[in-house]
Amino acid sequence: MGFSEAKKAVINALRNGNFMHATRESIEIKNELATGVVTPDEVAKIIKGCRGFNHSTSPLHGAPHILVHIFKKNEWYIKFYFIDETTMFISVHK
Amino acid sequence: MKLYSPGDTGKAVCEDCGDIVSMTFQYRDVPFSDGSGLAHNILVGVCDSCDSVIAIPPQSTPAIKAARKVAAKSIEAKVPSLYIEALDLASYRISPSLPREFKNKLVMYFVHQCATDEKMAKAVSRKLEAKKQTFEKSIAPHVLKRFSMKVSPDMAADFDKAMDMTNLNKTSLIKSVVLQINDDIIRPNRPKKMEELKHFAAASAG
Repeated sequence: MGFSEAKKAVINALRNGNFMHATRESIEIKNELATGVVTPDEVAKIIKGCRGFNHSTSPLHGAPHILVHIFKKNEWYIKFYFIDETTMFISVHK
Repeated sequence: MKLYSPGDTGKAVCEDCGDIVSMTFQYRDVPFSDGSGLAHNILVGVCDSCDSVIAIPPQSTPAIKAARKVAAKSIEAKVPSLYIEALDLASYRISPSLPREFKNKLVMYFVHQCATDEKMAKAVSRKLEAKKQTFEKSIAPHVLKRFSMKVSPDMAADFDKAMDMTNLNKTSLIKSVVLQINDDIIRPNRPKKMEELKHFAAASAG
């Protein structure tokens, strides 16, 4: 999945609530969407302002066949992947 | 928006199992990654293979936010940047793979010792005056950096007790603890506490 598709899918997920937070035994404090520091609308707004050069991908640590999408914009760092129809957030922080 | 109930199932990546796995939603107590406390009884996705917590649905966020507010007390001080770098170096020496936030846990490990061990409290309370000049002489003018950590109410109480026992204010206690860390972990060729600290790092990372 490329930049445009990922951007559209993640914004839709944030708007319709079809997302979750990936975790490993603890609540990651660098996921400020999970801890309620930022709202889904605020995250959607940041991603909406992203262009192709704000986007990169990498394999998921521990499951390298899954592609992780990273959006960086105005010091925000937003990292997530997709499983089926669900967006899984890993990090959302400045 | 889907509202999950205990017993519902889904899919997520389990890093321990290294693959996409099936999970079942259950209520669990889940700690914050910085060690500042717990969110009690929140709905989470649990790996059906290894029983690890692997996902959190958005409906748990209000409970997490409330728990974070209660759990986290902020301890902040502005110190010369060399103190922060010394903490990063000490963490790196314990294990190069530790995250940068480990330095907060390292400080609290020593603060706890000051709060519970009178001998340690005395040693730390003398440390600042004795070592500050030598330690800071290479950094003129001083670049100040913010040292900031969120701690649980119990840890905040430990910090208050350590300030009381060392008769130091917040900034001086942090500086003195860093100087102690410098003496115990950074300077020795074979630090005596290294094995203990490696165990502590491994336990606090899990």
